[in-house]
Amino acid sequence: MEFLRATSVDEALAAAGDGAAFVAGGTNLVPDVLFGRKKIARAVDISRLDELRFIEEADGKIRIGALATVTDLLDSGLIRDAASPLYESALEFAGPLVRNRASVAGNLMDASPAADLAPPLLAQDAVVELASAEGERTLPLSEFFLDYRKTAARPEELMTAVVIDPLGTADRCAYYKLQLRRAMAIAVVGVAVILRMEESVCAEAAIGMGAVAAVPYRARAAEAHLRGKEIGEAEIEAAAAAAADGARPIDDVRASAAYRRKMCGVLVRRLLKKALGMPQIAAV
Amino acid sequence: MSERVVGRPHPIIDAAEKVSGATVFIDDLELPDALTGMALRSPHPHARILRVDTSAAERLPGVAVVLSKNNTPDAPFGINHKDEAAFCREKVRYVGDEVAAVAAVDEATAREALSLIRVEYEVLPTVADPFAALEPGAPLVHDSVAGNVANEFHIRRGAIDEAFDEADATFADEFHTHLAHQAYIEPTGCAAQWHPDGKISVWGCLQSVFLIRTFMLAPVMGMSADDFRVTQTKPGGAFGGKLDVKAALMAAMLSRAAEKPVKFMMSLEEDLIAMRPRMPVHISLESAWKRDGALAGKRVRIVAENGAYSSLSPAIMSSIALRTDNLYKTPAAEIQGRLVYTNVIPSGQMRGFGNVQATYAWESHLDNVADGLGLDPADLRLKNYTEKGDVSLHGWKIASCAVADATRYVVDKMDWKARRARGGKGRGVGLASCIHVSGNKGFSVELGPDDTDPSSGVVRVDEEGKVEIWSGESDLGQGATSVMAYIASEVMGIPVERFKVPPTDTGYMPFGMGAFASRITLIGGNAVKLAAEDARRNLLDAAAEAMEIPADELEIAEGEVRAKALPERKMAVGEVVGRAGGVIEGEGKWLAGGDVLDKEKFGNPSTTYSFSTHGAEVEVDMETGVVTVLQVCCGHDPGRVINRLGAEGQVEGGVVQGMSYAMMEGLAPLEGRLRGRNFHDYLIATSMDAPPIEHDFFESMDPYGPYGAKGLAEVAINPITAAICNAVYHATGGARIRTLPVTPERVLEAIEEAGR
Ligand SMILES: Cc1cc2nc3c(=O)[nH]c(=O)nc-3n(C[C@H](O)[C@H](O)[C@H](O)COP(=O)(O)OP(=O)(O)OC[C@H]3O[C@@H](n4cnc5c(N)ncnc54)[C@H](O)[C@@H]3O)c2cc1C
Repeated sequence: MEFLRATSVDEALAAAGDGAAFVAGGTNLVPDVLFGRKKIARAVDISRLDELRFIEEADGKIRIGALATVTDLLDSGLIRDAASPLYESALEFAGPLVRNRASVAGNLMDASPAADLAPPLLAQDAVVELASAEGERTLPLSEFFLDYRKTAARPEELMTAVVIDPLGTADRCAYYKLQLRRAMAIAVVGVAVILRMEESVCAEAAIGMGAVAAVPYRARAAEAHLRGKEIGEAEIEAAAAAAADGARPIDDVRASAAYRRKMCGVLVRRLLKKALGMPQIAAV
Repeated sequence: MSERVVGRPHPIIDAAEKVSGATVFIDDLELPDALTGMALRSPHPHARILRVDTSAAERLPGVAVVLSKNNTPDAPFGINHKDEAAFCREKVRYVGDEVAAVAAVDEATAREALSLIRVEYEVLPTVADPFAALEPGAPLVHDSVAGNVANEFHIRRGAIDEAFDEADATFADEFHTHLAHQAYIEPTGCAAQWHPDGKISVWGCLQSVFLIRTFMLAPVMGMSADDFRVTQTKPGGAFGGKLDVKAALMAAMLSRAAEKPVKFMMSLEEDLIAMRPRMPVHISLESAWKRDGALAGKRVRIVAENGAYSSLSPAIMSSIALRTDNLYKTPAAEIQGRLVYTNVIPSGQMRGFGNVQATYAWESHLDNVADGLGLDPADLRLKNYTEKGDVSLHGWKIASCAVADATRYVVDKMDWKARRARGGKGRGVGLASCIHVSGNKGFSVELGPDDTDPSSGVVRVDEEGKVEIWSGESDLGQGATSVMAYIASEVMGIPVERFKVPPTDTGYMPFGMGAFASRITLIGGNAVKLAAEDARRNLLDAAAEAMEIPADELEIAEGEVRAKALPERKMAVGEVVGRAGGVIEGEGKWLAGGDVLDKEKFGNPSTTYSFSTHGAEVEVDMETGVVTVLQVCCGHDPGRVINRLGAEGQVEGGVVQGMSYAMMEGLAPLEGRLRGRNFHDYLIATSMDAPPIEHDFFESMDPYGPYGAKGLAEVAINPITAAICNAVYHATGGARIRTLPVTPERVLEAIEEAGR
């Protein structure tokens, strides 16, 4: 295996393709290579490309550089205030050692169904920026995950940033990661909910789901029960049922598919109530 | 209690060495020209071996030797049943079974050599479930063992039928425990060096350096025990898992064949799939009661999962079957046990030696009983606990016992009555108790030289006034060597800083059985105490001569021999030793009390017994089943605390390790294949999961213990699983966890079942 440490984005792009893989924090890639799950011809180390490590607000958008780490998310007042589900997912992410290395782009590019940053970013309508020697393009995150560990990015494409709209005073949100221990655990179910309220009406509803299908996804059917409505018990129940119904979970060592499906309903119901400040049955 | 050292908090004596990184663990051990040893393991749970072709591996440059059934003798071994071979012969019986091993110049070459070994298998039907294994016509794990039953027994004691016939109430329950690993942080490994005189040195993190020679190395290799010099390396954790360490055999066999040193280090995955994890067991309980809450009798039926080979499993099953009967005054019992071979990793011993499983089942059952009788679970226990002076129905003699004090403490500290009165709304409290041996005579027969369960120690003082303690008992991180140093320091009046306790070494140290059955503080501690007393006498005699003062007018304090009447007449211990020729020694031997059980498992297996009660408060999310342990409160009776810091560490470690077992651990076998093959899928509790722990010691001052001390390691872990399950039961208004671990999914199922 060849190893190249890129000193510029152009150099990284020139070295891409033909079995090459970018290395950011390496927290997915290194174990994958070590344990033979991935074979790569060339490792292109992008970890020193400081120009890709930033979190900034520009033109009313939040741009998160590809190399921003999960710790960077936690250190950012902007993320805490204007992307709180993402912030909460970062709190539940692995442990400090991994958070210090794990990059935002690496989490999305790895495309694990249980990638913790995906549900909140999906719910916040994230758009990813991709670059290759041919040029640049953007893609909504909701169109990015194609199938189990398969993304719309071409092998030679480098993710450079993730862009979201900041949440404002009209946005109500909540996040929960169901896990089997309090740290360093893969999600059993992850749910992020964002509701944009206009007076008492829900103008926009976004629900990001993780670990309950081959890819993280938006629970569109559930959202449809909320959008444009005054949300009461009936809407919440309908959305929760639709979320459970729409899940395509599997049985694995952590939980059964049936439990995961049930939890989709429970968590969506609970997070909607939490977001709206309604009494919940039991505290999350 | 006028002691100056004993009972106070001290750091473990090698703490500085460990935290500064100076400690040499087995992986750090460097032997010149050492080869790398590695094993080829079975990929199948059950298959017949048609052919093993090692020729290509042997031809690979850099490969020194390849061992397999082709070139090793058929020498079956095993502590209870000789059912295991160094290398699989006619069949492989679990995924991970050793088929061959290589020694090569480096890891890459060894790995390549393994890939060149061709094994032809005829895959056989897997029998992974113990109940399926008991069905007539089930595939046989060992062709010679009909019905896959490795062991069975049936005991009736007391008027058991009358107890049930005349009972005011009877209760029945079933419980199932899971396959869980010791999950020590240091993967297993051993090094061996063959010497031209035919002798072999072996190093490793081993619980018993003496016994591994007699039950494994010597018989398999056709050598005598003293052909092996086994030295313990500093431990990176064991928890029961490093008693039966086949890596020692692999390293020694490869080294002998290659005539070179060999290091055989297992990967974490190998450790998880091929060591001896805690035995899963299925326990059916029935109990008979008087209306006032007096226990009248119990019936216990056990199906224990042996896995592919037996190791110590028959003894573990026995512990599961009988142990809890001795905690309460039990007038009658009927016990049936069956140990079943399956094509799963051989199960074995872990901290608790079956008692974690037994205590989980019985103590969970007790809360169901309390509920049924309308009694408080703490009161039910207090009514039935054994007491000092009791002889249990199995013949156990209770020499000291403070379990009731421990329970009253927990009840008091947890504000038990008020909290019990609430409950049922997602928050609840539960408690559980246990009894444990301090040493077990039976092991002495199965593993040791005879039935004495001996320990011995030597204390050597040099001309600088420094003291070394040689004991055959090993420290696995539990602080055994510190306890010995503190005991000897107390006896000898020499400051602890002057003591050194080198790792156990069969080359020059006196015999000891090793670290298991919570035996070292009691048995090893007594031996070292006697040795220290002997050394002190010898020191005083030498000082009497040097100082021309009669020995009985002298005392030792702060490392000086002083005249009692004239404290200014004094001589440093080192000077006394120097004048006496450069070394003064003391020797001590101690033989455990108790009996070897008879065929009916009757008798008093241990010198004395330890006790504990654990209480837990939990919050249960009634919709997701997620359980949070809010606090743990516990009381322990270790007889007497020798080192308070060490004892606190045992308690906190035991509680968190037990909670981890109860709530998240599991190798999760599926058709004989384990799914927990790394610490990503095999979860153990993190510091984030650890609850606040409040606790205290109830010192029953055991008549046999050194300064009154008995074992603590295992009572620190046994009851927490049941305490948590009982708290969940209370919090949920009746969700009883009958299968471990207590995952959110199981809790939710139990909540739904309780609601029906
Ligand atoms: C112990 C441990 C615990 C973990 N816990 C969690 C957890 O709680 N939650 C969770 O979601 N994940 C967890 N992970 C997974 C992992 O840490 C995250 O997915 C992390 O965000 C990956 O980022 P990275 O920078 O390390 O990616 P890398 O490993 O460097 O890369 C991952 C993949 O993305 C590609 N890639 C990386 N950067 C780019 C880029 N800019 N453009 C194109 N391709 C790129 C790589 O080629 C590779 O295929 C854990 C991992 C470990 C080892």
